[in-house]
Amino acid sequence: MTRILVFLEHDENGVTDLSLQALALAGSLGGEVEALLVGQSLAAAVEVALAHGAAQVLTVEHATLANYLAGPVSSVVAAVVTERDPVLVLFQASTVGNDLAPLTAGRLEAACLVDCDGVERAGNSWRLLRTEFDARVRAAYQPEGTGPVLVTLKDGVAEVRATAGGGDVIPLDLSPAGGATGEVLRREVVKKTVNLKDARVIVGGGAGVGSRENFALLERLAEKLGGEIGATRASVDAGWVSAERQIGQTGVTVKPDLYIACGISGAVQHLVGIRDARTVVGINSDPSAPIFRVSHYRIVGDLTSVVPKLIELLG
Amino acid sequence: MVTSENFYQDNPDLRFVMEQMVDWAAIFAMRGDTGHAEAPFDSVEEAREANLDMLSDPIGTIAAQRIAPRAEDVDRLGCRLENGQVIFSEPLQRNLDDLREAQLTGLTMDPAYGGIGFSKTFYSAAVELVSRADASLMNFFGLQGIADTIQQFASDEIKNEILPDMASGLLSGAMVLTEADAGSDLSAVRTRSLLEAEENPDGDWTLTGSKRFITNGCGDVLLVLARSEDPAKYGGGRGLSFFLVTRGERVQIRRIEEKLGIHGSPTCEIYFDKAPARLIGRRGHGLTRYTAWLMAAARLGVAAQSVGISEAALREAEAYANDREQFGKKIAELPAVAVMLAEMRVATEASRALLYATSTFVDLQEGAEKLGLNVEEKKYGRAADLLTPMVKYYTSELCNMVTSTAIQVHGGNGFMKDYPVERLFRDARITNIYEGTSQIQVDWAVVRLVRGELTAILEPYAGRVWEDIELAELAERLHDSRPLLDQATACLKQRGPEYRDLMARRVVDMALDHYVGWLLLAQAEKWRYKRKVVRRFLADALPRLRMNHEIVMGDRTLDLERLVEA
Amino acid sequence: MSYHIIVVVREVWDTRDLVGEPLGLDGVLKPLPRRFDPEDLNSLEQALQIKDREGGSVTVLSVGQPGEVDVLRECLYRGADEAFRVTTDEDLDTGARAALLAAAIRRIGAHDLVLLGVSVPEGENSLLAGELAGRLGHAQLTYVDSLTELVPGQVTCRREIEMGSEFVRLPLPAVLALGVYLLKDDPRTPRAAKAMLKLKLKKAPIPEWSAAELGLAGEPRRMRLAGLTALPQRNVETHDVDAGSEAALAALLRDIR
Repeated sequence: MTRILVFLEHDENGVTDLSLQALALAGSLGGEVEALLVGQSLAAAVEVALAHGAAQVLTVEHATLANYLAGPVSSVVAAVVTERDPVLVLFQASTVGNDLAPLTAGRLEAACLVDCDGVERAGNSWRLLRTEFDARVRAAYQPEGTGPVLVTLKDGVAEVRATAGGGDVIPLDLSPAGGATGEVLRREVVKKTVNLKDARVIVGGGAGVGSRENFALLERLAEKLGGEIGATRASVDAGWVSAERQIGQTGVTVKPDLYIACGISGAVQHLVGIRDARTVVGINSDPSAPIFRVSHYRIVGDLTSVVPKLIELLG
Repeated sequence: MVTSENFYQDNPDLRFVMEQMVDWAAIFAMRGDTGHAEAPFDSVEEAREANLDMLSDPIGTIAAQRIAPRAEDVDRLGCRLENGQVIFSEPLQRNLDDLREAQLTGLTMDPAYGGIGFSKTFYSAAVELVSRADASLMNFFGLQGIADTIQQFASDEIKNEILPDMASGLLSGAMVLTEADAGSDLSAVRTRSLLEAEENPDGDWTLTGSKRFITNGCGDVLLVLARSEDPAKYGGGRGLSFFLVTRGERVQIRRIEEKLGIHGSPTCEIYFDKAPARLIGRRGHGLTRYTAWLMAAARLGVAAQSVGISEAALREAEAYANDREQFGKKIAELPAVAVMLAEMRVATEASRALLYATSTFVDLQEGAEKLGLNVEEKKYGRAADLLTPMVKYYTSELCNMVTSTAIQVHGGNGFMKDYPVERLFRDARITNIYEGTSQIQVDWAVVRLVRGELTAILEPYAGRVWEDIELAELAERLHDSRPLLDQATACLKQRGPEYRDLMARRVVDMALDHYVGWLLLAQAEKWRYKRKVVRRFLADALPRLRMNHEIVMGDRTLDLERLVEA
Repeated sequence: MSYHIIVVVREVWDTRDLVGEPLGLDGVLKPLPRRFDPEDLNSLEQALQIKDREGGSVTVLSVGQPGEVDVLRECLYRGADEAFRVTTDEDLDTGARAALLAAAIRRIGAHDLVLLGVSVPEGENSLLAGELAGRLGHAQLTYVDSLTELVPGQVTCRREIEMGSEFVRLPLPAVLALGVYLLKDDPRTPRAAKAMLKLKLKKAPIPEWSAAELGLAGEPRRMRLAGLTALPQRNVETHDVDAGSEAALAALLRDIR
């Protein structure tokens, strides 16, 4: 029987949604699904994994693994893969999975593909699907040779499914490889207080917004429209807006009825996050900004004059 | 604002002129860039590729990606004077840093002093590219002629001391010529330079007096025109010498001007308070030789700046007209707007054609001078002397027309600061004033036209056979206009200096319409699109030639220009 | 203190102007212009800034013959000290390229950092960085947006994560994959080519190594591209709204609410 290993990410909120999607996908592919949990205080996460389709949950608990860091976690995952010999190892297309899977593949000299949005069986092997070139092309990849195939999966790859549960828990006595590995000094992570995913109206701001003061204008517009504020990574980096509002490759993917893109040039990293917006209004001083290619309404102008006018018109 | 990644690559006309029209082989050969054992390049092809590649990157990329996006801020923030110090705005400082880091501060300077040693033709293109991004930055970028002047005329000691730091961009320069009462008439300069130690005629001069309207007067290396001779013995221009002054506490910036345009370029009033100065070249040659040399380079620079501004305005207008809809269609499709766009495009491409034809003559003359080829030096020198004032006049006047028309295409929007054409229009306005007003340029040019110095320039076209029927037909019409030009020129010669001054602009315009016609026709041989351009150009130029001919041959007098009730 | 930095650079398809049908009738991607991978260029800039500040050297490395852009020469024009090219006739998968690069990096010798970009245009993302770090046995960090401290033996980086960022200290040598989001006039913006260097290094020889010269017998292919299909594109009909017209903005608000 083929064995599929699923690496589960977990944080203070438990096992991540992406990880549960990966479990569901693994279940749909047929075979023995094993989940792998690495870290500390894993009891709660183990229960969640068992309730979502894992036939077995492998755990590696170690003090040095409390905070995720590629080096030590990868050494553990490589050891588990070697020992359990799965044909397929699923990770999440997150800043953990996309960090961990390639490094582990490098160590094992195994096949690896990141950012897949589909995995299908193809005879004895797999067909890995990925969206490329600005979401214009779907590419299919075929792993070759023997050995495990490591894959990271994008959001939406499967529906999370609760199952009856009742599998085994197998604690593994492994510790990270020795030597200097580095450490996570601190994390600056915001608590999630907004749900951009379900927002009907989002006013997004990019590098072109220029300042925190101008972002306040966007907030007023969002308020008038009963919507939320969204942002690109650049404006999060600049400190104008909280990271929980980041939309795009490493942020959330949104599907509002109305997206007003202010001072957003339209880098691919951001566009992937707003692809499902029903109506897009672009406001940018550069008429050739790529954002206008996906905009239903195109306003070429300075947002510091356009946005106040919109606010005023909204009364 | 219309954005681009590369101002060279996105400009088919400039590329066409650079890649197909400029006679690089002749320029390289005359300058010694190729063709001998110590030449910097093995072949013409290699040298040509190095030149064009440099225009594309870093110049075209920096202009498009760095300088152009900052132009609006540079204009808005301007420069300030605080405690005698000129303070640059942050975006301006970034522009200067970018130019320095990309090693673009010694483009024409001799490699012996750390320069790149490229031609004037190349430099004109570089100035055009930078000016399209930000016209005001040309007043820093375009000051490389100051270093050239030092290289040409100063002592080895001064050259070794100053030039390497100018090449690396560590030192910037200024040409310090004009005074409150000495603008177009520089022979009226009063700033005194006194020899402190009369017994040592080689050094220790001090300068006293004030200078006004000094572009980048806060620069580190100042080339100052000052009176060194006793006015009783050597009056006017003959009493003026050229001095090098470095920035110090005896050089005081008293104010900077509030200007209509080019806000990124500080225009200073300087007071020299017994400032130590070093003589450059020979006493008494300040105006006649060195200033003339420096001004010729500066005029070519302003012509290139004008072409750059025109290009920017043309693009803004074309983008707007193809975007804006009125009466249910794009305004570019309305005949009244189409006419404006065509006029702008023809003016820009005609300006460019003349700019690089002139630059080539300047390169050939300088090369011939270095090689000691007297006959060639005279021949190309005469062409450069005539065409330099003509191109400065032509491109700057057209630049004013193009930017004004660009606003017109934008309608009410163009009058607002929301669109770049407003700034372009203000920046354009200086081009036909500084480095000699249009009237001064015309004055220079007409004297040479009357001497018949256009004849040699037109010679290659006189007996030329055009194999293509369409081009031959256009050439025929251009040939037919030649007698009109010759008659008008002869008329000026015959009717004396006062009538010449009165009609100077008309005849210079005729010469320009005729010569630029040939340049565009030659372009049409190599690029089909240009057939339309030359047709469109001649459709206006030929009637204009006939009109000017009629006016010149008529009986107008100076009296008619003084419309005061007697 | 000086640091020896190796930057891995790539040439990628320029997808920015990809409009209309992306695939030709033969099912192959239509030819696009190519450019220097922007994130690799950001990485080069980071390396050059460290060299400017601390001294040391920047060595650049790539796999394959140049297409439209000679990325290695472009690095030399910006101030890289040395460049090496690994030659190959094959169209390699990422793992095989990582194997060649790892061998070349060992050949180059002692180094503190290996930098490269999180490559967005072709979807490679962080894959090459991990495959490389795994083979080299180096510490690794991806999605790095800035190096906050570099001292002998260790580097501290700010790294992008979901909902924020983390600061991580790693021992050297380390492989860092950068993903930089530039603001206007960002100090991390890549520098332009330098005119003098360009003249001087136009024809400078760039040493080349084949797989055999690097002691590799040839890496097996582990991932094969089995097919491309065009995705249906949502047709967006764009309506222009005049920013200066209150009536137009009011009409827009009526439409979208």
